[in-house]
Amino acid sequence: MSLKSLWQRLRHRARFERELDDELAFHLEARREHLIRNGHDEAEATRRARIELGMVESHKDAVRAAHGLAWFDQWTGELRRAARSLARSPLFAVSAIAILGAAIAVNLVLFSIYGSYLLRTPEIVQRGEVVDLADLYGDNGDRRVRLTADELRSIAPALAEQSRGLLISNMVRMMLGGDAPRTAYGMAVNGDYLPLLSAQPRLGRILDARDDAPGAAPTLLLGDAGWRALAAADPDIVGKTLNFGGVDFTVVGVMPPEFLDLQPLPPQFWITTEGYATWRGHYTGSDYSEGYDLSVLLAQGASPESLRQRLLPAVQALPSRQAQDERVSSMDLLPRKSLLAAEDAADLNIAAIPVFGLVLLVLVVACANLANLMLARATAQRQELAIRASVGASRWRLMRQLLTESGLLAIAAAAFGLVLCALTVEPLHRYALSVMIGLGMEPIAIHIDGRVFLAATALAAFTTMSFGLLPALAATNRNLAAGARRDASLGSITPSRLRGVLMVLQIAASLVLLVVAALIVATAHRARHIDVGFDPARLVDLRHPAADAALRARIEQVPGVLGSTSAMRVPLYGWQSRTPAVVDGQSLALGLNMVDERYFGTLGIRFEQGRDFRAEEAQHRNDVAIVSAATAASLWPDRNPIGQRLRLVGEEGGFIGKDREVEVIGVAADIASGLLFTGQDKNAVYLPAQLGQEAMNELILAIDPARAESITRDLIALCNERNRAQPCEPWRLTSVAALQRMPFEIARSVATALGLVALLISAIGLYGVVRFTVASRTREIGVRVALGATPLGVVKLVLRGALRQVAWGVALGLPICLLVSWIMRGTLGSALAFAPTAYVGVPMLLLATALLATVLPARRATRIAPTEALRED
Amino acid sequence: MSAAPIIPGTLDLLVLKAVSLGREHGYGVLLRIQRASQDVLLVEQGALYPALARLEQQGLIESEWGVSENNRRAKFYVLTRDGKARLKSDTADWRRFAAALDQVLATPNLEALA
Repeated sequence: MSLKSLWQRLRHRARFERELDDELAFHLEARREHLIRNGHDEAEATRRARIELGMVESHKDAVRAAHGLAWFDQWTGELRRAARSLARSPLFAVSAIAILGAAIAVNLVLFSIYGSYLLRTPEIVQRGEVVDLADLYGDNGDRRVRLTADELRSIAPALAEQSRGLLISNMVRMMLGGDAPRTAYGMAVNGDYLPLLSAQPRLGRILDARDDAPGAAPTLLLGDAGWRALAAADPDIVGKTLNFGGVDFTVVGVMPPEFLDLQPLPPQFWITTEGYATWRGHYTGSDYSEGYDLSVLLAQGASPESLRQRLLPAVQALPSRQAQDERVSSMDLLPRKSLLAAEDAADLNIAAIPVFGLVLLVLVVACANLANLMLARATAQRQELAIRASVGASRWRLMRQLLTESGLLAIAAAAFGLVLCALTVEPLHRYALSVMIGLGMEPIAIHIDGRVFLAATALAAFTTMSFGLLPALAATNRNLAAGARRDASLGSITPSRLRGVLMVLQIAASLVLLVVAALIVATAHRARHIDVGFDPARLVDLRHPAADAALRARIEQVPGVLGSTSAMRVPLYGWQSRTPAVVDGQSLALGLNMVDERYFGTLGIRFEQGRDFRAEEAQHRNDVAIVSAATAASLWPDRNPIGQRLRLVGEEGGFIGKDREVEVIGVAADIASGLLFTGQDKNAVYLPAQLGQEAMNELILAIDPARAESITRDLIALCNERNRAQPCEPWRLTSVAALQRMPFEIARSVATALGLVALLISAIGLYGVVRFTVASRTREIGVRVALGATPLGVVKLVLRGALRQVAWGVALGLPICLLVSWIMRGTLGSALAFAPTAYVGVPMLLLATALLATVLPARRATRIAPTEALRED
Repeated sequence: MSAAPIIPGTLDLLVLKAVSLGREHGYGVLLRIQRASQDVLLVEQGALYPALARLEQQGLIESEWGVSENNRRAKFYVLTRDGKARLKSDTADWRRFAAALDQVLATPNLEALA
């Protein structure tokens, strides 16, 4: 029978039954009339008609069976019985559903987020192979700078046979002026880019080759998030202009929210490479051309290798690549599969492994726990099953009942997990990306992954069913008498031993999970609480494209601004580049910053030795230097650092220019200026310079933190008043730090959540098992009480059993934890990798949880009355 | 001639034939078989409906609700195109089987087989 007609029947079940009744009623009636016509009286006719038709119910069954409905009826009956049976032990049902549901939800949330970013195939990738040009390398393996848009365009003809189109793009940041200046995030792309992606606008049109022609008026295409954030969702925005840094961009269209580009965070806008060059020239006054990313949609028959054979010589022939230190000798070409560039996808996959490890552990804990619960229930059900078997229920019949119960549990758990995931996945996703959302970026919507749901549910069903079947198998063995006893053996293993093993396994897995979670939390904690050496809350980065002395003088008049300083680089903006240097004939690389004479005072950095820069030293860029305490200690451990000399090696286009030899005049306290999690700078050298000199663009303000909001408003107004084309966007350094801490905060949240789920599951499991143990030892405890055991003695007895399992679990899990720490010690450092919070805290936590889970059943045990207990069973 | 039970497996063929004579409800099918066999074949009434359901499930007959000769709502069956084909082939099969059976039963002695 076809599935479709079965479905029709199931849907019209009530009608089917009614019609079956009608048909048989018609038959009876017709037969009765027939018999009356043949001379029978009415009563006799009715009686005979009934007898001739026979057992109506069994005929109906046969008709139902012919229509393929019999098994359905059987299973609905079974389902009703299973639901009733589960309802009789609500504690078991609720714990099982909660445990499994939580584990399914955790898996579903993480894999859905992962899948939405990494497994979603962009439409263009379905049309053909897309290859990303990742990195260019020189002879010695050094990375080379990326190619400019013009260079990429110029090599396009050489790739004509290999490609169906070039995607040239660069993520750009432009500041939208006005009373609330804000940075908008978008893409600068070539004219073919959006047509190649088959972009369909919701309003207006997309950008194409016309817009990217040299000298074309700047145009802009808004994304859905950008339309809301930058244009207040104006339905008539097409044809209007948005002013970025003094350049009017005409809006040509708006994209629908479904359009994702090839980005994990959908851009707020798209402009052309020409438009971006116009803006950049206007906004910063420089003619610097930035590097662009290249992706190639391969032609039919082309391969990454054949592309490389054309691309590499074309790149090598570019005029800008003729100098020795710009020459390109190899390149990475990586096929793109997802919204992330191939390179980023690989990085993310590596980062995802520990998280998936943790998720897997949660699943192990949940399954072990569930198995334990099922076993406990199995033992409780054995009597009932044995009795049913002895009065003639077939083995298959008993198995069917237990299978249905298990299946019902798995389905309920899956539904619970799905609901839990649906409710939490977006809030969690947005929480994880809250810093980016705060900056105006809008992440993609997460699709709950159906395959993961099926896989998790199948696993849940497998676990429940395999452990649910044990009692049926045992109950149907020949030895009914043994089966009718409580806690009888299941074949050769005793259930209490199997439960013990599962409990130990579960505690071991929980321990590993919790220790790893604790290590992650400790790392995040360090990133959050590290002493950066200054107070980020009272510092503001002005973020102005062309700050000068006049602006600075005006800014210092703003009420609440306590001081200002200029620097080449503002601390906390990520990885700090290093400059080669020679000290006492030894080559090394030093973190370098150029600062004015007010830097240390404004940031509140103490001097340990020597003195600060003087104004004239900054003005003339004298050959003096201040080093950090750590630098002094490592370079001149036994000597006075003041008066020592170091040679900074100049680089073409670098900040130093020619080689410079500088004399140390002061030693300042250490600060953290790069990545928070790597801690305070290992070394730092400061050279004097002044605002407005080459590379000296940043203005850092010390403010009164209590008035931060009004100060920000005043600063924005001030910048606008001076030149509306050059707005500023003041950022407190606390925001910069928050952005940097984001990945750690995400990891911390995930680890904490997983740890809590594991702890909760373990607690529920331990409680269930101990409670069951107490119940099955009622008689024994009763005997002990009768022989004079005190309540305290009984509690001790119960606790001892539970704690033994915890101890075994810890013994099993600890070596695995140590191995993990040993592997992680390189990245985290030994102190953090073997953090006492993890190694003392987690076992204590587990112990406390175990005690808590044991106390209630233990108390129950003390209340057992010997007379009752001895009557038991 | 006294009534005989139906040989197992032949009910479906009888029902198909009866329905092939024209649109009819379950009880009518029963009567048709009895009349056509001159009351020799006795269809067990309860077995008729599962047989109809089976044939309908196989797509050999179709059902629809209509009004009977005495103005009652009844379920009527008609033969489908598949049913027609099946009836033809099953009838041929049956004839071959019956002839063969006849021949076996008509064998006079062992020499006739030589």
